[in-house]
Parts: sequence; structure tokens; C-alpha cells
Amino acid sequence: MNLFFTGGLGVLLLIGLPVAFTLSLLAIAGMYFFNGGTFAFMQIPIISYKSLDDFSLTALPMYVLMSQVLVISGVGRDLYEMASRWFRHLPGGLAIATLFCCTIFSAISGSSVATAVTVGAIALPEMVKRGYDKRHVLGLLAAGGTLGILIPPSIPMIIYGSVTGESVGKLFVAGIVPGIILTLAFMIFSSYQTRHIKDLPATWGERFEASKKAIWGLLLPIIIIGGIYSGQFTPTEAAAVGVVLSFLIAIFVYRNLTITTMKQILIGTVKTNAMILFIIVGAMLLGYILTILQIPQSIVNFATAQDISPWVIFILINVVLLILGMFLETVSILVITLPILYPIIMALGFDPIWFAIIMVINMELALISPPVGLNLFVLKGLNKENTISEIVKGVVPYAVIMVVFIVILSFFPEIATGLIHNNIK
Amino acid sequence: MKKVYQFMDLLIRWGAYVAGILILLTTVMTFYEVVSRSFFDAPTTWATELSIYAIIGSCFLGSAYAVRTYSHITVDILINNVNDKMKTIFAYLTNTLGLVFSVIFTIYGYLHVVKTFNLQVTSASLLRIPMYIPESLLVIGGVLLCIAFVLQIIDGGVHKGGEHL
Amino acid sequence: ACGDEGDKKADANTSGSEDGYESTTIRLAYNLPQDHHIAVGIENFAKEVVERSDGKVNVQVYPAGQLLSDKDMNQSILSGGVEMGVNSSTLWSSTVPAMGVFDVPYMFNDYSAVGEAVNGEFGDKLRGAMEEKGAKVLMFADYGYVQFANNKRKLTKPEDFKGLKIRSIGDLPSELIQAYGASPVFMGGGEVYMALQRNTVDGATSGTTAMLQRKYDEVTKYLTVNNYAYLEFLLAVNKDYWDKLPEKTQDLLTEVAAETETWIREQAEKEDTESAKALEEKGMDVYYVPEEELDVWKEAAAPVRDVFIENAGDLGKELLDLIDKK
Ligand code: NA
Ligand code: NA
Repeated sequence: MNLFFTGGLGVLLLIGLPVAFTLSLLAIAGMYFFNGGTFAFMQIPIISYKSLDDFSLTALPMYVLMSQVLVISGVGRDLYEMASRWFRHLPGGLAIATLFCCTIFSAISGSSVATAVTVGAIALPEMVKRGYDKRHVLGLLAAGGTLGILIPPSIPMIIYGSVTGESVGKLFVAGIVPGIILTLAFMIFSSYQTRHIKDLPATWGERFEASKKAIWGLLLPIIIIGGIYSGQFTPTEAAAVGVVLSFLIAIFVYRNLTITTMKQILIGTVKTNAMILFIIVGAMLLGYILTILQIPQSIVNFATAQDISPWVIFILINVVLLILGMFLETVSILVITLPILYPIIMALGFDPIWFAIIMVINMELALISPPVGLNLFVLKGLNKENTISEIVKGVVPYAVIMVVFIVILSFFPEIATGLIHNNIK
Repeated sequence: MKKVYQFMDLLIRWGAYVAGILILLTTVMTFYEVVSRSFFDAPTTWATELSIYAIIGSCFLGSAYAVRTYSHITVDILINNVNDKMKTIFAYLTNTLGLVFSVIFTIYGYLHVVKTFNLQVTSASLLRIPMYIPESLLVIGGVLLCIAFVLQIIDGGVHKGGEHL
Repeated sequence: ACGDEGDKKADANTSGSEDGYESTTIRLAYNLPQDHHIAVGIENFAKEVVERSDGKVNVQVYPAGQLLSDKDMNQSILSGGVEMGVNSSTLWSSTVPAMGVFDVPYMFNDYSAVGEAVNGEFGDKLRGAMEEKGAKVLMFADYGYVQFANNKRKLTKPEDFKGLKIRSIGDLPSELIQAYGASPVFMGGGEVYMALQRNTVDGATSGTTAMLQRKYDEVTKYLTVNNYAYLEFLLAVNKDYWDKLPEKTQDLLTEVAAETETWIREQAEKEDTESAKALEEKGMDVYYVPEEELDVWKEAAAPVRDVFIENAGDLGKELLDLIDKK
């Protein structure tokens, strides 16, 4: 049965059936052959509807829309020109600036896909224009986007909290230091990777001129972050505020929004939106049939039922998460495995908050591991010329950094739990 | 026949326009909710719920258009490395498989909507929206998907569908 | 056509044997945290059924939203995607309006009254309404009373609600929030914790057990215990599947369900009391509405009753009358 699913997935993807339909069709085939024939098909509309029946998902198309407006109006271009004039004399200066944007945007949106699509849409053309290797840029965007679920707020942490009963507040706090360290590690690596790209420093006059031009673009994150932290709106609602603001800037400041560009923006948004959401539907359908057939559960149970030392079990758990991460979407992995993993982790005597951070980093890996990695797909969707293999090659070093970081976290759990045990009663 | 083909393509494009409008509506409703709640202390009872329906609609109504414009993510490692004849065969094969999925999706979506209609299921909210209405978006989207894959098959094994706007 | 295929499937699942139970597999899904008292009860129910049938009646549990969320649970049960599932009466009320009766404010004054009602005529009427739609109720699992928590002020009378923005669950609680002069806010469950922390909303309504589990004490100051509604969760079985089970299996399931129901009810009472105390110990300012003041709260909630009757029709009225008679 496992062979049926993995083999089927490989074949369907390779002959060129789109990912969304590959996942869905495989789910349907699984229902037909292993779950009572056509009788099980009644679950298709139920699961399909449920996969999108979530208010936090509405942020996704809105962020896609926002990024399109920022790109087409030129706000994104001006922001990059500013960053370029301030940082271009540093080795890989723009790479660091982009990762900084990813970090900030992650902190706001809580969604990795939204981060990759928004920052990616703006950063990719501008950085390639300035001499960066496309593969390097794609890699850092795919990886930078994943920071969105480690730096609070984070949807996977909320799911972890609601399934296990751990404090979401503590989980958020626990994500801060690992989030910063991982961001710094990404920055150091990417600036090393792109160190040859160095330009003459811009004059102070040039810097301020570009900053003045980018001021409207800079206002956007300030209002959004300010609004979220003062409680005016939720991270999901922030997306709508961002769209309205970017439209206002495009209409009244840049004055370059026409009916034609408007149509272009909307159609572009619809395509990307349908592509991402339908992959989520497909992943949920596949997740449903695998779960009802107890496949992930039996894999986890097998890995954890061995009579071996807790740390070997811990390593096996990570391997299983890595494998599941290749095929399933992150929310599915969390809700399927946590009810089994959490009691085991507690029984083995591990810290549940620390394990949550390990779990979230595994989910970051899931977002960038082929064949099913949403961040890869989002970046592929940005530009027809990007190929999946190009993106995967670009992202591999970052995946290695994440794995190394999991190892470090295992030796020094205080990186995650330090803030909690010291400051929160 | 040509007229029918063109009309079908037009239907799919309308689906995409409606999807786009639904995304705009979501933005407007959510923004209204923020302003109304934060500045006038008057949260709405409808914005969150209707936004969810709109986003569900935007996915299913826009999907057929994404098929026609090759916007659904496809793994291209093998496809890029086979000869044109194989490419054509793969194209027919994948579009047929896509059609198989779409047909099953549409039929069972329809059966489900009928069931929801008969059971008179409403949303568990103040609006008490009959659930068959938002669920119908799946069926409409499914029909559009069926049409899209049929057109792809008619186009043959090459990327003749091309970019439409 | 679907029904026919359902028959075939049930036949395939059950194979006869003269003495003992016929073997069958029941897939049971629930969407509560595993340490919740209802979850513990349900897991025990499953274990007991398997043991007492010598493994013939195999209950396969999908815990904590692993397979289905609260939103797709009902439809999945009704269409046979799973044979059994646990979901709240509030969510069932979107299919069976009379189920909203548990959300009508101040229906039940104490825990034993609930047990009596659901095991009597009141329960029979609800079971009948559910069966008409295609689900057989096997157990009324008590969640416990629900309360209000907020960050603005101590709520000692309904007027204190004026102007508050309160995150709501379901339709009738929203009507109550409006009746008290506050505004219901709708947002995704995942955002509530942050919304309370950042004062995007002023308060929320939930059971104290859930408040403790979701760490409301970290983000809200005041708790008002007015026991305004008694949440029920239902263990429901797909009716077609149930009707095809041999009587012996049906009896076993009914028997174990009844035992579990009683156990869960006792737990609900214990958990409610203990969790309210725990929230107080963690620093929340808890206000218990005294019995003699409850009439004011009930009166202000009167409009909600009318809304319920409007939705649930004659059956709704009959249910209310049955409780009023007591
Ligand atoms: Na975040
Ligand atoms: Na993956």
C-alpha cells in the first residue's frame, strides 16, 4: 500500500500531471482501492470544502494580491533601490536585506507561504537585475520564507498548542531565540554564498534620495506591524489592511494604476491563488486517505515502539517527520502525528516546549522538501522560467543548516526553553 | 464547433474574473471589519464568514483558468528531457487523468450538495446560511475544470492553450 | 445509488459467526484534546467495547482532530465516511435545529438535571430528530458549563457587558452576547489567544476546562461564572451502519455508552469546579454570580429563547416545555 502511494505519486508527477491533481487523484485512487470503492467518494467534497474552510487562509490570496500591487506599481522596485544603495558595498548586502525582509514579514504574517510569495515577487526580479545568481536568490527566498512559522506568531505552534494543551504563549516565546539564530545563520551563509557581489558604496546623498522615494513602501510594514502589536487587527486581517494601503499608495502616490494593470494584477492573483489553494486541497485529500488507512500512524508507531534509547527514538522521530514532510502538507502532519508523538515525548522525558520547536523546524523542512513543498511551488509560480530543480538546488544548503540546527538544539535545549524557564512563572 | 470551443473558453475566463472579484470582496469585507470594530466598536457578524466562502469560491472558480494557462505547478524534470512524441503522449495522458479527477469531483460534489440541500444544513453562525450555497461553488468549479481538461485534450498534446488574458 | 454501495460495504465489513460477536470495524473520530475528560471517556469506551467483544468489535479511534475537524465531522458521519464521531450539540444544531436547546441560556441548573433530561422524554425527542437526519445518538457526553472571560472589567450584572467585544462560538451564544449589549466577534480559533493578548477582542466565552487548557489565565483578567449554557457533545453513529449491526453488538455498544456517559457527567462536574479554582489560583479575578441574582441574568437573556423557538419550531417549544415543567 505504501508502495502504491509513493510509486503513484512519483509516476503521476513525472509524466507531468500538475501537483494539485496528482495529490487529489492519488487520494481518489486510494479511496477506491482500499477504502470501500466509490462509496468513499462521498468524502471528496466534504474534505475538499473543509480544507479551505478556515479564516486564516484568506490571508493568502490577499498577500498575493498585495505583492502584485507592490510589484506593478513600482513600490517594490523603490524599496530595493533603497536597500541596494545602503547595503550594496557589503558582500551579499542585498541577500541580507532580503532575509531581513523575510524575517520581518514572517513575524507579521505567521505564514511561510505568504512570506515567500510576497517577498519573493518583489525580491526575485530586483536581485537578479543586480547580478545575483537566480538559483541563490530562489534558495534564500524559499528558505527565508520558512522562518515565518518559527518566528512568532506561528500557525503550527497554535496547532501544537491546541492538540497538546501546551501554552501557545510559551511556544511563541520559545520560538524567538531559535528564530533569531536561524535567521542569522541564513544571513551569514547567504552573504558568504554571494560575497562576490559587491558594488561601490553609494553616496549619502544617493542613499537619502532613494530612501525618500521608498518612504511610502516603508510606511506599509510600519502600519501593519504597529496595527498587529497594538491589537487593532489580527495577523490575518493585516493582509486586508496591507492590500488597501498598497492600492492607496499605487493610486495616489505612484498614480500608475490603470484598468489594464488592474486586470493584470487580478488575473495574476487568481492564477497563483488557485494554484496554491488547490495544492492544499489535494494534500488534505491525500492526508485524509492516508490517515484513515492508518499509514502515517503505523510508521510513527513502528519508529517509536523500538526498545532502544530515547535519543535513538528521537532521531527516528525526526527521520519519520522528514519523510512525511516530503509528501504531506504541514498542518496535516501536525494533526496526524501529534496525538501519537506527544504522549511518547512526555513518556521519554523530553521537554514538550523544546520538542515543539524541533517539530516546527521539521515543518520548515517540509515546506522546502520535494516532491511536495509549498514554498518551492510558490516560487515556481512567480515566474514560468523558474524550474523546480533549480529551486531545490538553491535551497539544499539551507536545509542542511536547519538539520544542523536541530542537532545543536538537541544538545542545547536551553536555546529554546531558556527564555521561558527564566522569565515566565 | 469552433464557436462552442470559444464559448467554453470564455466561460472559464468568466470563472477567473469572478474569482478575482471574490478576492477583492474578501479584502473589502475584512478591511471593513477592521475599521468598523477598531474605530466604531461595531464588529460585523458577517465579514469573517462571507470571506471564507469567497476564498473557497476563488480557488474552485479560478482553477480551470489556471489549467488553461498552465499555472498549476508541474514537475518538469522528465518532461523537459523526452522527445516531442513522448511529450504529446504524456500531455494526452495527464489531461485525461485530470478529466477523470474532475468528473468524479463534480459528480460527487453534486451529490453532496443535493444531500446538504435535503438535510437543510445551515452554517453554525448568526447568518445561518444554507450550506448548499457555498458548497455549490465546488460543483461549478468542477464543471469548469471538466471543460478545461476537455479543451486541453482537443488542443492536443502541445501547449496550444497558451496565455489568455 | 450511494445507499446500495453502503450496504455492500457494511456486508463486507461484517462476517457472521454463531456464538460471540460478529466481527466489524468501527472508525470513531473526535476533535478534542486527548487529555480532555470527554476524550478520556471516549478512549475508554473504545477500549471496553474491544475487550468485551474479545476484539471482534474493533473500534479504531482517530483522536484530537487527526482525521476530521468539528466542521466536517457531522457530514462525514451522515455519509458514512466514519461510522462514529463525537461533535458538539452546537454544531449539530446546524443540521438538527432542536439541538440548539443546550445553547438556550440557563436551561439546566445542575448536573443531575441534565442526566435526567437526556435519559428521559427530552432525550428521546432529540434522538428522534437526529435519527430523521441519519444519525443515531449513542451518548450525550457532558462538556460542562460555559462562562465569560474578559479583560475590561468584572461582569457582575448583564449591563456590564455593554460595549464589550466578545469572541463567540456558534449562533445562540452570539445572540446572548447581543442581548447583553455586547458585540460578538468572529475569528479563527487559532487567533483567539493572540486577540485576547493584544485586546483585539475584550473577551471570549468557553468552558473553564478549555480556558485552563488554552491558558486564558495568561491573557485575560476577569472570569464570570454564570453557568449560562451547558455544552453537550454527542457520540453519534451512522444510522444505516447501526441498523445493520446484529442486536448483540448494538446492546454491547449501548451498554458501554451508558456507563461512559455517567462517568463523563461526573467528570464534567469535577472538572468545572476544579478548573475554575485553578484559574483563580493562576491569578484570574473570578466572580461567581449568586443564585439570587440569576433571575436578572435570565430575564436579560429572554430574546435568545425566542430565536431558538423560531429556528427549532414546535419541537423546540416542546423541549423547552419539558424542562420548564421541572
Ligand atoms: Na511568524
Ligand atoms: Na515537503
